[in-house]
Amino acid sequence: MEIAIEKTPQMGLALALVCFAALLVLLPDEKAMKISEITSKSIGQTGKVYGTIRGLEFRNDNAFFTLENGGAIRAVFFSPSAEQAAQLRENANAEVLAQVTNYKGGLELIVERVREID
Amino acid sequence: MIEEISWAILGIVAGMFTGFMPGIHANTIAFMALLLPIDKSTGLAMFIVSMGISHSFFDSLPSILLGAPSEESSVNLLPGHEMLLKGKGLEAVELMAFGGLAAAAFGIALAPLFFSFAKNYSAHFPAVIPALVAGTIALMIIGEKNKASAALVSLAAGLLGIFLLNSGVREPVFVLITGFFGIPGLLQSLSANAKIPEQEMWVHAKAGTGIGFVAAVTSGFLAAFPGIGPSQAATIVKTFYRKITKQEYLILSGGINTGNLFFSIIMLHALGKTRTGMAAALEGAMKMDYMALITLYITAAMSAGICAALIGAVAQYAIVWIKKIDYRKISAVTMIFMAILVLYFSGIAGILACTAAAGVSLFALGSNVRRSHCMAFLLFPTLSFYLGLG
Repeated sequence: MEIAIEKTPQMGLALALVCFAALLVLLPDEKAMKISEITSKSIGQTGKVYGTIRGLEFRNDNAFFTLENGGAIRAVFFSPSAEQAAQLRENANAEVLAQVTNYKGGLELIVERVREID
Repeated sequence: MIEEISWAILGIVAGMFTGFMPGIHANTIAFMALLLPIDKSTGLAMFIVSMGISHSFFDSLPSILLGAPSEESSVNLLPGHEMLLKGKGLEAVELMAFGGLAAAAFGIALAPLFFSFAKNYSAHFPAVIPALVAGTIALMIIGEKNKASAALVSLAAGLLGIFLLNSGVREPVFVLITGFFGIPGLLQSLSANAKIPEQEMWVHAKAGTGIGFVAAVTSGFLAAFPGIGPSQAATIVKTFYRKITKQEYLILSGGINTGNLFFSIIMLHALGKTRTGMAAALEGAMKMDYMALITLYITAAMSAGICAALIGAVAQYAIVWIKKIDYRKISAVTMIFMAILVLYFSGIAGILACTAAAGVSLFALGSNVRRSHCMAFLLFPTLSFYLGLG
């Protein structure tokens, strides 16, 4: 099949728009949250938190750890997939997508996704 | 989401810059970015990918318009520059962009196939490479009328390649590319009082999608085969597709350049192997899980689309700008700039090697054999590596 070369910009634009739409679906609207700035006002918010994983424990297929980066916050990852569990390592730097919740009077992150970054 | 997409856009801009500047590669900026005190994240990985893709598109501009090649674009310098001197510089740029876009589109379609191929057969690839490379060198020589001179050029370039790549001289590939393909063309422009002829500012040409498909398939294999780069791959395909036209060759090399980056993302996920500088930088930016693979692949395709949409307008602007300036002066400044880069990166040894390479290339010009034989400087070391000689 032959295509007119002068149509390359339009075809490029079409591909870019389709991919842009796909990225909008793939990338959730995640704002970055600093651990030190997470307060009771943050409860219910979902965002990305960067930090170092400490005190990692697996109990009943769930992962529990503390995320440290200029502060510390407890986090729980319920039933992570094998691939997600493999991203969890003690002392690893991670990007965590999580929702801030209140658990027994303290702040806690309910992890939706974790990605080791270092 | 907005943050990540902003990173991708920034990457496209950075890739335009590195593409324009001979001697500055997107990989250099990618590794510098990893050293910055910024969070290693999906956004950073998207920056690296979009910069690599953008670079693969925009580095055709200095090679075609100025005669200043990079490692990846060296093989398009000759047909591209030739088209420029016939007033078809814009068409040459658009053909390469078409190749890159076609490789992106076919790259998406072929991704599952090559993912599975790499997983199942990658262990057998190294056995095929020596025969492929040796066959390429032989066929290229046989195809010349002046076979003795062609063999001499090939041998001299190959030996120079083996020597310099093992010499400890920094940036040996850049040094030799400049010597073989950059300096002789610029010298010719200077001595022939070359002027850029009136350029056609609209492109009216057609291209078959088949060659774009060949480029995508070639890049898939290229990403799987260790030791073969885009330039070698384009040379190999050209050798086996004897009737390829100049226009098709530009599509092919543009496609291989971009497609190679697409498939290197797959190889990083499937095999954990880094086949390109971009993939090596990605490895340091984030863990390549399945979600990351899909996100980065789509980012690469989006970047390819944006670059294909922009490059024609950018090239038109660059052509208008170049025409206002004495082309001999541009050639002289480009040559001095490249010599300074060689001296900066590789010292006096680099200048000597670059001069030797330019001598071999000028001999090829004087003997009426194609300068593409100089690509033996990469093919010989690849062959010697797989034969266990070096």
